[in-house]
Amino acid sequence: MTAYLVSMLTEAGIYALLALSLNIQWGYTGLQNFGLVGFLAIGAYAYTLPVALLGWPPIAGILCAVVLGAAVAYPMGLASIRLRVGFYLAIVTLGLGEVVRSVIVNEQWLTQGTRGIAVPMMLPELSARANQYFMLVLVLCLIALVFFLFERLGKSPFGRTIEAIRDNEDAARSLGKSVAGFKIRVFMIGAALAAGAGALDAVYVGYLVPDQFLPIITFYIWMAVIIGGSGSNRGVVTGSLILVFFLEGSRFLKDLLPMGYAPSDAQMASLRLMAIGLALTLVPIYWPRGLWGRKEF
Amino acid sequence: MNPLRITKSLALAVAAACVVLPSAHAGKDGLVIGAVIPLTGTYGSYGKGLSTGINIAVKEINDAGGVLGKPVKLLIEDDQSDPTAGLNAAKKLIDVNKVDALVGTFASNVTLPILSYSSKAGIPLGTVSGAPDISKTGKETGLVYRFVSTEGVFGESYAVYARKAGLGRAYVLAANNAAMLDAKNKFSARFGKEGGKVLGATVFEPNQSSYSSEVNKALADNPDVIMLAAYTNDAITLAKAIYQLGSDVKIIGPLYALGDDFIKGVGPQVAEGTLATDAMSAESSGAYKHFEPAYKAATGEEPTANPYAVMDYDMVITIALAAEAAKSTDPKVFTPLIKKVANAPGDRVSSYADGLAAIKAGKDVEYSGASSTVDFDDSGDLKSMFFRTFAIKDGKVVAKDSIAP
Amino acid sequence: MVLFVQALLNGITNGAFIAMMALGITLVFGVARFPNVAHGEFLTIGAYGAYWCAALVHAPLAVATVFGALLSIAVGLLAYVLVFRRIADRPVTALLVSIGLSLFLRGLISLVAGNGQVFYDMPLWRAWRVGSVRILPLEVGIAVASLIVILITHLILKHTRIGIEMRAVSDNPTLARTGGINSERVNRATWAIALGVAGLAGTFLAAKTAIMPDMGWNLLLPAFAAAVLGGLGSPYGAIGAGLILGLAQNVATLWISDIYRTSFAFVVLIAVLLIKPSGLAGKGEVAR
Repeated sequence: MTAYLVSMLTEAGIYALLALSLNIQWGYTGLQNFGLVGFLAIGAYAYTLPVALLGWPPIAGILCAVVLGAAVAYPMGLASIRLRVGFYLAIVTLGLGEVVRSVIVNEQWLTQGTRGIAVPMMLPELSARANQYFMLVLVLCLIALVFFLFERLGKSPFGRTIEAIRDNEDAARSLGKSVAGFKIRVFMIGAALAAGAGALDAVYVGYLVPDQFLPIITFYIWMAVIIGGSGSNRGVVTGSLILVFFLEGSRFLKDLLPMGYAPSDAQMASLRLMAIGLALTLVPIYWPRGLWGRKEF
Repeated sequence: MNPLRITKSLALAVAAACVVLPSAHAGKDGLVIGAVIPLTGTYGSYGKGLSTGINIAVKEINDAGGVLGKPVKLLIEDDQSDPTAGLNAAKKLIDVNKVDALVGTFASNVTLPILSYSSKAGIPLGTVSGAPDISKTGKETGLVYRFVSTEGVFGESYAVYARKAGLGRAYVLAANNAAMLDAKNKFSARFGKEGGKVLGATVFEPNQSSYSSEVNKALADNPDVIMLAAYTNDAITLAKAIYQLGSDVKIIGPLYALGDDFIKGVGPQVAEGTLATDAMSAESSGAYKHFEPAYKAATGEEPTANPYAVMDYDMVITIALAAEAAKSTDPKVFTPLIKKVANAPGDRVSSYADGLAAIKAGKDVEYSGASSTVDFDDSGDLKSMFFRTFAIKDGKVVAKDSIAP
Repeated sequence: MVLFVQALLNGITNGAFIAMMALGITLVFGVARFPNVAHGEFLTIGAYGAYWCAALVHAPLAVATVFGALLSIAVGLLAYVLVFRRIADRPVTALLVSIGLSLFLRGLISLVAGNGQVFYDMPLWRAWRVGSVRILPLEVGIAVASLIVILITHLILKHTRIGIEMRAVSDNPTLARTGGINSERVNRATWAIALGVAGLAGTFLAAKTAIMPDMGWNLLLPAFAAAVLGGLGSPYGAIGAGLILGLAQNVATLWISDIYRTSFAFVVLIAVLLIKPSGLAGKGEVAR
């Protein structure tokens, strides 16, 4: 039982890191990034390929992931300046996720494609159980670190500027702020974090296949951010816990409900999708602040 | 709507769940088997059959008295045809429900992550996935038992059959997953070795609405046979496109994709002349003979429509026999005996009841199953596989010969 | 050479579908100022509507097609009235909500219709051969039907009163209202036309491919690319971009793997946007 809880908390933690990444892009700066899963995938592969195939140490792998994530985000950032109407960015980032996945699936020579790659544990000298606990501790420490950093960043002049950009871009520009530069920086920071989360995710799952990176994951994270409250780091972390509770909790429903009352698995899958859809539909309309949000939209 | 209050109540709910849920798993009393199968998603159509096959096995075991005198408990989880969901399902079964063995994993991209976890937990896995990488873990850990031959061997069987049927120019259309790619590679190699010419191959993304561009590429050089490495739904879409666009090019592929569901989906006209092979489902074996009516009664279909269901049945029986022979439901103890009860030497048995009787009498058993003779090599793969060849004529699947590729 | 001609011909049908979807997206954007991510689901609903009509009631093809389109319009207008009208002043929210609606509708469709693929009972004709080029009569029929639908939409926009009003609202909503145009009526008409076109596209697609809950969503990305490429809000831009993109996708897959079909649309989109951010025919919402 404990091992299962440890797994679920680790998964929630990885989602929380992704949610924090989205929060700084959307919650603080108003950038509509719908390509999160693409950065997750980039990080996962940037970590796994050198570590599993070339024998690099895990630290180097994580560094590789973070750097590559930021590097890919740079042209995205440039594009986001040109695409002033927010929707263009939404659509372009949505496409980015698809492009990344197609490349992974197609370029077998590089990524092993659908064959997948086994991801070695970070501490192979220790037992599998020990590695699990280590993973959880690592993720929790990272969340604490990022949380602390982002809170400080949010209250700093940088933070105030990006919130100003979110609320009224023209005003911010008229005050002499280089909107372009800030947007790019935020994009890169968020992408680097998402890619780092991707590296951790690869180790957590233990085997890397392209099907782990479907677009629905981006929508899960958006749901976590919306329910938790855009703009609030505390909120999005809570939102991630709610997300995992919901996704995995539905599995236990049939253990708890008497036979005949539990919906079939096929129905369960459809109902889950409908519930997520409903949350993303109704929460922004009737409860736009979510739990702790500071952003009005 | 105080956010703090909401969060506190959620935390309470999680804590409550943690107290309630441990009682959701069986007391450690008797063998517990967990199944992770696709009940929804891309491969959901195979799910019902798989579940039936497993349930028939458990009923047979429990009717004969169970394992070590106690009934076997079965828990089934849906992998949603998705690696992440499948992995979480496996984790729940292993960590919360404390299963002694996992069975039924279907798609390779789901099996591989699950295998990574189950082998670290020391839990044996029975699978029908075709990817070659699974054998690697099998060899290293002895914890994987593959009840189907790798898709690559299937590929070779198509090559042999096609050449036997006098077809010399082939094009391959393969779905983009590890198993099908293996089939494509092995088919191409074998077809060439047998004197045929492979004109080319195209890999396609599964589960799309339309494949006209892929089919056009396939037909460009006028092949006389197209090898389809795909599952039923894509086979239907592709066959229709080939029929409409092509001249009389033949299709060859696995029976699990080109069987009765396929004929129903494309119609007898399109299906006419299609060639298929299937692993010798040991249809003359005793095990199959008593499995078939039970399966038909439960689903209304012949087991040949879903050979994986038959394999899953064998999985459960084999594991139960191993536990009985080991006199223990501890995976560490009974896993080495899986190979022992499946392979020679031993008294040949084809049902749980017979196996139980033989074990109780102190004899070694060799289980010969409904899907194959169930004999494993060192990597947990099936030792040899005979293939039966089929052709579709007048809307029906007609068995022809057998071959050993 | 043969393959190239083949690709062009397939591209026309492919392009026509993308054009129809993009048209719907851009029309809705014109009056509601947000891109509707749920648009793909209205295509799917059209397809299932036609299928149920034909399979359960054994209605003839024409009736089933009309039914599919009407079902799409009905569900879509319901969504408009219940959801989108309430947030007419919050386009950013509307985008998120449309994503939620898309997931909800897909879940609902799979709950009602199951997850597997179903097929329309169409007779299968073999291809006509012109030299070594194969032309499917069904594809020709669908391409013609799609182009007719697009033509009719063009005529509505250009020559009917409601069409002129739609374009006015799309260009400048405040001015249009001052000029006495009933914006609510225009909104409903625009949604209805966009939904009808999507529903029809769904019934056409159902005739030639497998019907499954994800079918609309799979077409959505190229449709978005076309709509943005043509300039959000410009119907003719969307149609043109859709046709061009459909052709380009098919020709490109002669050289690059088929798996890159959708990615190709995006690379083209990003390239164009970096050069001309308002799209090919767009209305100058450029950033500095």
